Amino acid sequence: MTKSYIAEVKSASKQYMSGDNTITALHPTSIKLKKGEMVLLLGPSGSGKTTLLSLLGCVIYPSAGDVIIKNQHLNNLKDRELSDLRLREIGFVFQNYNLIAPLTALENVLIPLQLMKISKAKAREKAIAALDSVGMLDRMNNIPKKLSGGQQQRVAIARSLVNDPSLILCDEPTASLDPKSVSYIMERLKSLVTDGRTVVIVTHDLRLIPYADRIYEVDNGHVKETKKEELKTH
Amino acid sequence: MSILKTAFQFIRFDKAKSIGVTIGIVISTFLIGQQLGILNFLTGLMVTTATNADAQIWVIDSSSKDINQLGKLDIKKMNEVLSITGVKEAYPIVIAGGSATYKNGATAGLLLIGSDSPTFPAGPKPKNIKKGEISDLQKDLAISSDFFDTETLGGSTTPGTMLEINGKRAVIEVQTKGVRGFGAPIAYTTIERARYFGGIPSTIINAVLVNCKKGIVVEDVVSNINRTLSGVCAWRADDLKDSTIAVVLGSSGIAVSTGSLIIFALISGFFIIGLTLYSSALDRLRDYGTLKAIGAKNGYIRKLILTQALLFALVGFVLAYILIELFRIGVAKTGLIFNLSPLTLFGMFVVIVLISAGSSAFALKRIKSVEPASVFR
Repeated sequence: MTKSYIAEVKSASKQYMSGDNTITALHPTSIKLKKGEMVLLLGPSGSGKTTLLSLLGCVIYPSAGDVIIKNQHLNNLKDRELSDLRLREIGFVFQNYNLIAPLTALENVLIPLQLMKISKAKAREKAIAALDSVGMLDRMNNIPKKLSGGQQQRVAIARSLVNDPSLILCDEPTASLDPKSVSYIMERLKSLVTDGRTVVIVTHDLRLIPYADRIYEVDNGHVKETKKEELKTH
Repeated sequence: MSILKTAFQFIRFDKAKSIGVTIGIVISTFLIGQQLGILNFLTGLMVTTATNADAQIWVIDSSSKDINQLGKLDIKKMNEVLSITGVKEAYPIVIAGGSATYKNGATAGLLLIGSDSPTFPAGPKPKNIKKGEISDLQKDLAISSDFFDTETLGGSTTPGTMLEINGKRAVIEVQTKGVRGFGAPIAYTTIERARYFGGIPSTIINAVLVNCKKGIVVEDVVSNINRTLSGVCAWRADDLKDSTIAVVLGSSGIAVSTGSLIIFALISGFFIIGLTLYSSALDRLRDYGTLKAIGAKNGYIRKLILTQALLFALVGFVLAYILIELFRIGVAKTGLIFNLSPLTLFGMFVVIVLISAGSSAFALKRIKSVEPASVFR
């Protein structure tokens, strides 16, 4: 893997057992993610795009093949090392925001820094800066249920970038949002790309296509790269 | 943000279940404290005779191991004890049973404890006297009686109350408070009067109370007496108390009854706390999954759950301690006086912490099985 690649999936596949049957969620797939690009994984529900995202997010191991994140081979890492890799190199934005319900917006953003054992003062400073960057400073003491969907997603983005990861993985980040919030969230994610981060978005929302640098279509466990122009003519 | 604050936020967020866990701990701790308090009271009653006597060593007949069941000794043993190296002073005491009859016709059993006047080494201690003076026990027919035995003893235990003991006239001249016997009320008097009321010959005593010379090791004197004198056994006062408690607990259902109640309190507490914590963890599975996905290791999750359990234990224990204190103050008015030592309270706290931490194992096991990938489903 050359230095300009943040992540690489090398002939990785994923199978699950369902009773006596083996289900292939992802056929052998190879993709490379460059620094500072926004990549869309497009496909219908159950196509395997979330499995691919889970592999990139180091939350599952491939059944075959390998995944390399920042020169670290997933297959060579133990659970604890995977946790560390996720903590330091990957930011997550989930469809349902997945903010920790009992904690305020600020405390949610502080969590990755607490896990990284960063000093209280420094952590607070970074968390406030992250919340400020998504325009949520005035709501930082609210718990998630006091925030709208769009606001929760902005906090989730702040949490995903507060530990300065190189890769940000987003699972249907705009699925539950109104058009205005979609636009805000995508602009914000795009600005992260401009800052040199790589953003991968799993979606079936075609409105996101214009923001993407590259697009992969996922269908029935098969992944293929598609040009934007081809999609526009569909 | 510290893990303590995060744990506190989790507790505060899920108020209903947090209250459930706290109540489980309070009930469990209160029941344990209450049972230990009552046991402390009962064991105190078992050894009242020794507690109120001014003696380092008790010399009793060799077959007795329970201060409430003393055999007879010849009065000559007193002089033999005095001749032992290291003995500073020795006093005979007589313990006699009696049946008291009051003016209103009420009758009650009585335990008469007689010792030499004017010092009354067998008791009562001046600090336990509520009305009258210890010297009042030298008056004709005088005995003491305890305030908390008033109801048992015909409605009055104040000085001047007349009664009959084994058909002989007696007068309460001293009222004690909190000097109660195990089974029968205690009445202190002179040794001669105890013999008179109990019909005990002047050659018979029940024990010799011994104090040692300054600088002498009590255990050495105990050994000297046991080695030199036959038919008697010398005990350090505390050893005799321990032996008495062991004998009474072993021969009665008190230990089993108290022990089983404590065990049930522990078991019910364990499951109330455990299942409520488990249920609370189930509600927060997505949060724990998210924490794992963003990089929290199992160690962090374990710490978070255990910190919550410890916070519950601390709050529950403090609330239960307040309830136990209120219970203690309330029942003390009826004569059920007990004290839980700092060591006992610390032990209870440790037990409650262990229950809380142990019962969080249900939740931990469930959360440990949560895959970080579950957050994408």
